[in-house]
Amino acid sequence: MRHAPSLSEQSHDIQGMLKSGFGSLTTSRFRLLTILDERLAKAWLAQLLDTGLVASAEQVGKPKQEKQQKEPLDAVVAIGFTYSGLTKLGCRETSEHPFPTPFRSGMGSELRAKLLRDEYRQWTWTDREGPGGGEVVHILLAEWKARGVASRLPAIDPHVFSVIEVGEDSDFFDGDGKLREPFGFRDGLAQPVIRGLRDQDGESLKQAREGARDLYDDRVVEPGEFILGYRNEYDELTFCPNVEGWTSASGRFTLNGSYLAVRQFEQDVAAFEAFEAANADFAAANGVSAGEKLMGRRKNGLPLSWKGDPAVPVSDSAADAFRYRVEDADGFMCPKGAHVRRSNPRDSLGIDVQSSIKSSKLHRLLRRGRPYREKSGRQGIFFIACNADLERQFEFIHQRWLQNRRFGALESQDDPIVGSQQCPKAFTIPDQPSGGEVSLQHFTQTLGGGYFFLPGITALNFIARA
Amino acid sequence: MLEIVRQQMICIVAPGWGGGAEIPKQLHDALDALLEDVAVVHFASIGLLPALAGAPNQQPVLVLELAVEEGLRPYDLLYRLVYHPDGAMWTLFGAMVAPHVAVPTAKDKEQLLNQLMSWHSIAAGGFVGARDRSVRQIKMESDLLDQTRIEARKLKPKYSNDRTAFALALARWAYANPRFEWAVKPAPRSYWRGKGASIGAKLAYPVAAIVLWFVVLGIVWALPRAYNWFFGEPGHVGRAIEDAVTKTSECLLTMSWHGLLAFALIAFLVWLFLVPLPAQFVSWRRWLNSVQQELDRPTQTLSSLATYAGGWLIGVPLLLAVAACALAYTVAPLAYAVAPDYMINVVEPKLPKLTGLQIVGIAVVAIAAVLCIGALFYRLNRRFKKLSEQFFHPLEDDVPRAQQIHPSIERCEADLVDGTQHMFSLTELRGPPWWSAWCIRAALRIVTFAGRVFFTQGWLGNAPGIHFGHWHIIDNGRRFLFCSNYDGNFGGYLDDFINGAAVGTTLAWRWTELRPRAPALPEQPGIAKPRSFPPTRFVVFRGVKCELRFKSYARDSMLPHLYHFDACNRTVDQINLATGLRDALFGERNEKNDDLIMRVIET
Repeated sequence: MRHAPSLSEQSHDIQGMLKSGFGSLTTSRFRLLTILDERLAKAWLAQLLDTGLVASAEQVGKPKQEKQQKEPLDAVVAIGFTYSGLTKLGCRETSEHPFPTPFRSGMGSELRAKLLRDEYRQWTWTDREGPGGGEVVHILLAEWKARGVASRLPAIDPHVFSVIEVGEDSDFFDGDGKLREPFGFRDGLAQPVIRGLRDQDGESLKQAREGARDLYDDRVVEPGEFILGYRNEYDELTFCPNVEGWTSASGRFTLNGSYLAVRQFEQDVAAFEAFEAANADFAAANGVSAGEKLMGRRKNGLPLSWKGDPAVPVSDSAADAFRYRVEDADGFMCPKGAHVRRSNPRDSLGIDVQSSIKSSKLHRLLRRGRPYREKSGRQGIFFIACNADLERQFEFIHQRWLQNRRFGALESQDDPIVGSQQCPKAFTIPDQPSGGEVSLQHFTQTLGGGYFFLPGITALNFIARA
Repeated sequence: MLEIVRQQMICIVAPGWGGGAEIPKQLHDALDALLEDVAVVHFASIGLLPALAGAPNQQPVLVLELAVEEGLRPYDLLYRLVYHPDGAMWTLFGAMVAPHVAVPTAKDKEQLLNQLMSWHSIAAGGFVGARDRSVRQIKMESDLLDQTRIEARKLKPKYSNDRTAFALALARWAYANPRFEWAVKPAPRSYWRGKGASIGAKLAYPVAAIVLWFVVLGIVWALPRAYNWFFGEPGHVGRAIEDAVTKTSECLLTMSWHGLLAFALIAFLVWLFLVPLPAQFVSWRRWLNSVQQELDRPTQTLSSLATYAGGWLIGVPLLLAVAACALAYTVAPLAYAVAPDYMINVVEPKLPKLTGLQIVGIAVVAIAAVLCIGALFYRLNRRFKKLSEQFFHPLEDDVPRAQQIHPSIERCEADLVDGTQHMFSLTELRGPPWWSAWCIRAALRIVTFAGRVFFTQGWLGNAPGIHFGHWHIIDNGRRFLFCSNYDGNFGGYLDDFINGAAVGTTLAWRWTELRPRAPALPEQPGIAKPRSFPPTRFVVFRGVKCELRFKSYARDSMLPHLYHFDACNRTVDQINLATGLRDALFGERNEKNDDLIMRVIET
């Protein structure tokens, strides 16, 4: 009987993005690579690893004091691989511990398009040939940098990789250092906190606890929900697939890794603003714009049920400390079909508060995407969700909550922001004595998507050098 | 009572399927038309089981699953299906009964009906969510819901600020609309969801049964005396009978009182340790939670192994001792009646002579000691943190081939993604099949009873969205078939079982295993490696809590459906909502009903 690896002893092997959203590195850029030459691709990967840009969880998200003592990181890179990318680079899954079916089958496949209820796909990139078309990519390269810092990435040879660049170096942080997505909403607030791997690059634990009052534990999730090989919310070690030739004694190939569900959304800002303008009366009468009702949050990040003065700034932790069941069961504040209520129903779906919170923790995502902007002016969100069980987390949220037209007691309504239902479509805003509906157009369009595996750093070395 | 539930879920298990892995379009449409027309079938599905190992006919076995309305006997249902003029049942089963007969005669149909009756199996146990309603009722109430929403849109500008007036206007519209005359009567529900739904009604039956038992004993005791009163002093025989009846009834009466008292005392202790004491003492509450968590832990830790060992060394003997004391106390009057001298001279001197005060004192000390032990463990864990971390840290575990799904199963799930999902699961009974079958039947009767009487709001425990879930022991007790129609997706469905109905699910499946089997047909799933149901502790713990093993077990046991029929395509929530609206519109005008109407018409 041997003890399973301990998270605190493995943070040197976990890619930094699982610990931190790199709030201090405000510029980001995402690249999707298709391998043209396997041997040279491996050599390039080895070169990338030598730069030290692929930071570990041990190196990132440290308390401010500790950072001041050492030189802070000014650029970080994370790298993930599609199933076909791993195969291309010579990784063959073992028969006893193969990759999970959703990852192997790929988000782009026809079957997953049906399961994810994507009615219509016209993609520019994907992880596998399918009905949406698009170039099949193998590698996701995410780069975060401080403002004004030049990229230290090794040059990408067009004979080795075909590259899709998602936006320019994009910076969507405002003067207060807060991230806002193109519609103008604060982003990245409702993040789960990984037990034993909390990002300390912000509020201290004490401040966060005080801000959240007694709701702090609602957001604390076991590490196995996001990192392979650790205890998850079922109190079980997350399944770790393996590849042939992997010989490390500390665990299998995928230990310390995670699966990334990636989607590139283009946001139609003009359409959203037109919707808000058309419903200006609603905002005047209610103090909350119709757009905020769709999203389920105020633009400054406060919940719609916030009782204090919305103009007074509060900590992020306090802004994310709310539930629905007791104070807003009927959705008079945050509509039942609003985007944030669908994607994280908190305590609203089960038989009571505790069982609902427990159950919703089985379906959480660690979001590490960022907004992007292209030269042409097109902008949107490059959505990256880290999870350890694609079926139970990303696919469940997408299929059963976001795209479900019968979510809760709703009738023929999917998510108002990312739903794929034909437009114009209705959105219910509950109110006293009885609420009303507004008509919606599509505000977002999915341009591409895929499942990637984010390996641990030892596994990354294995891919590059074995 | 359970027969009513079990008859709602039928499987026809027909060996010797000679067709392919697809139901021809023409037959598909004919089955749809047939089932739509008979209007009593909620769901129907067809699947193929691999032939039983060693069976003479190695062709696949065709399974037709039917989930039907309450109160319909299998013969009546099959009669309607077989004798329907469309003849779809003959097209499906005819070749397995009388090959090469395209147009069946009356005799052929009779033969088919008899054959189907011999192939049919009613559920060994099951759960019915919101489907105590008839198909017609669900459709009509859905129509009422849709029409009310349309009418509400028209009336909204007039009544937008007055809930009472708005609800009244809608109620008037519904009353005045001849299309909804049927809805004036309160929605028909099964007994335990209607008249018997209150806690009072549910408690009244066991209380009445106990009172009745004592009344019967009293009457039996009084009968010889009444005889004497009428007819005078009896003779020798009469006196002997009177003596025997008196002794027997008095003994039974005392035993019954003792049994009742012992049961009440045990129930009180269970309640005491599980309800007020955890509420009062944090350390006890945490220790109790921790014991349950350790027994349920999927990945072993030193703590879970220690708790399991502790359970065998302390828990089981303690519970057996309590049960033995209760039993001894209950049967003591019988022993006194049969061997009074032995009891008085031999047994009684060995028993401690305690006053009531002493007994109460011992009980209080024992309870305090148990609480202290709980608190001690709790404090030890907090005091020795480093050791504690090791003690509770998971040990290495290997679950091979987890998170794998056969393409045919995913295809079925994708096809039903906008409707009610369906699953077939086939496993084999482990150990001596007769013993497993007996245990499974007993467990399933308990689950069925609980579902029928207590879980009447469409939730099985804390698990929502189940329309029909039923288990069948087939092939003379060798194989175990589970069929279910549910809202959501398969993974979420199993999550609901793990979190909401773990004990029932573990009990239903723990006596099964997966043995290697070839696919029924190419492109269908088979089993390559044998495996047991995830290990359980003390019968009801762990089991389904091992998510990876359980999901993998359930996934690998699954078979795709070739055909699926859903008469209504409504979720459990939608069905409940429509019935609620009917009762609110045609019920009293009060705040609760008005508010329900306002919420329903919002979307």
